[in-house]
Amino acid sequence: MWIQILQDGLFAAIAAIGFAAISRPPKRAYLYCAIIAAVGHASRYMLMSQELAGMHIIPATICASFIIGMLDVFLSPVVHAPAETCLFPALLPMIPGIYAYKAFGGLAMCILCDQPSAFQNSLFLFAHNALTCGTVLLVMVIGATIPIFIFKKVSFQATR
Amino acid sequence: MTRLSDHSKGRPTTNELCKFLSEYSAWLIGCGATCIRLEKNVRRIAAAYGMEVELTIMPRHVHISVWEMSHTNAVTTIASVANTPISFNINTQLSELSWEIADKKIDFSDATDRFERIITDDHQSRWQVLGLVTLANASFCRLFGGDAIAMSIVAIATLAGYYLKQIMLSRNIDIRVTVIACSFVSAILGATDILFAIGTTPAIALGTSVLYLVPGIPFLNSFSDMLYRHYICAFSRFTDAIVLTCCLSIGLCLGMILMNVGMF
Amino acid sequence: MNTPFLTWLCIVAFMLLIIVINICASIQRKHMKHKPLFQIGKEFEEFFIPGDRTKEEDFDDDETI
Repeated sequence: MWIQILQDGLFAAIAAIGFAAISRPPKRAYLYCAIIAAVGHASRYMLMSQELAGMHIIPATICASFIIGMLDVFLSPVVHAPAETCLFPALLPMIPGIYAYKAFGGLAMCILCDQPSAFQNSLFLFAHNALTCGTVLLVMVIGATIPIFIFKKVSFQATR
Repeated sequence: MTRLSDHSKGRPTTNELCKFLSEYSAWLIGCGATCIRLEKNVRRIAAAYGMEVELTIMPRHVHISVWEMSHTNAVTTIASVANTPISFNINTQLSELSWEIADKKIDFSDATDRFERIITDDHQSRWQVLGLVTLANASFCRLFGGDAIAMSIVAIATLAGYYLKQIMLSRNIDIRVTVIACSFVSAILGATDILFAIGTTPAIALGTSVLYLVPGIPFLNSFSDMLYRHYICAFSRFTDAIVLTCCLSIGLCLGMILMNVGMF
Repeated sequence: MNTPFLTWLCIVAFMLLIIVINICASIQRKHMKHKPLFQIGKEFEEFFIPGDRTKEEDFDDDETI
């Protein structure tokens, strides 16, 4: 179990570093992005795991992104970078990309099919995936931003 | 926070400060900063020089009005948002610059020179980014439960797709066409294990081969702007992200149709 | 040959072609110093005997031998 959690954290860290590279963070931020992403993603994995908490993806995402936000608020002065420099790359491994394009796939199938039963299936696919994706994104940002609201002074003076 | 005295050298006129702030805002928004960060930085800079500022942040333009404390002279400029890739490095350095202006009494001419250096010195090795993105997407495949063969195929598909993306963007091809082409190429290559029946998780390889194209930062920026009640910018960024996701889906669906694969 | 295999083959060939073209272009840029791979040369660059004129106006009708 613990090996799986560590593996999950490790691969989330590698994913965060790679996707962070696309948005050109300062070089000193890479390590902290990796650490924050590893802790956040591993937390979500533990919360969603049936052996532990068995939560749904949405409450698990709120908790995990809150943890990411707290870590980011206190690490951003160390990195000497704005909060979103480490926060957004650390959230990237949790973004529900598969739900997003499955939603569009469902929409395309709604347009192409002509049987009511098939249309209902496709509409369910579109609606379920689109709502899940949108809600996960929203709660992710809310969870990560709550610590910034609470510790406003620390987070907006990180580059001072 | 200290204010520069009127007699310190390098205090700009209202015109000069307005022009500087409009360029500063255009670059800060262009490099992917949130609207709240722009507001705070700009107000901080203006207050340091003893002036007031109001700004209107639109998706493609920023309106800045600067006036003296005595309200006798006001200047307004409109600047187009800089067309630049997302860069947290520029974001960080511009935020540092705003604090240096507010705290260290930096000369206005030094501030403008520093600003010019920040926006021109942001370079990154494209091969390094290509390598890191490849590793990242392969790790993503593992996170979704892919086996080693799926990870290798996803790595090759990502390498090919992202390389094509770099070439197409360097030739100023529209980003939407680029995303369609790259997702198509990555989907075809990601379906290799379905085609040759290798590995145990072929569907995961296909599903994760295009994830590097998902516009994560625009999505996060849009929701962040929404939380701070900048609804116009939030909606604009969200629409941009949705359009890119739609293009990704088009390329993926085309690839899946040609490879006779059903995933939905 | 079925459509999926043909499609896959075309995409692989296309990507390999792009990679080869880019490698050739970057080698050419590094070593040839902006000289084009193909160009129309001058006659004296291929055939030269000491004493030949190298200027453009080789055939000046006004000159007397």
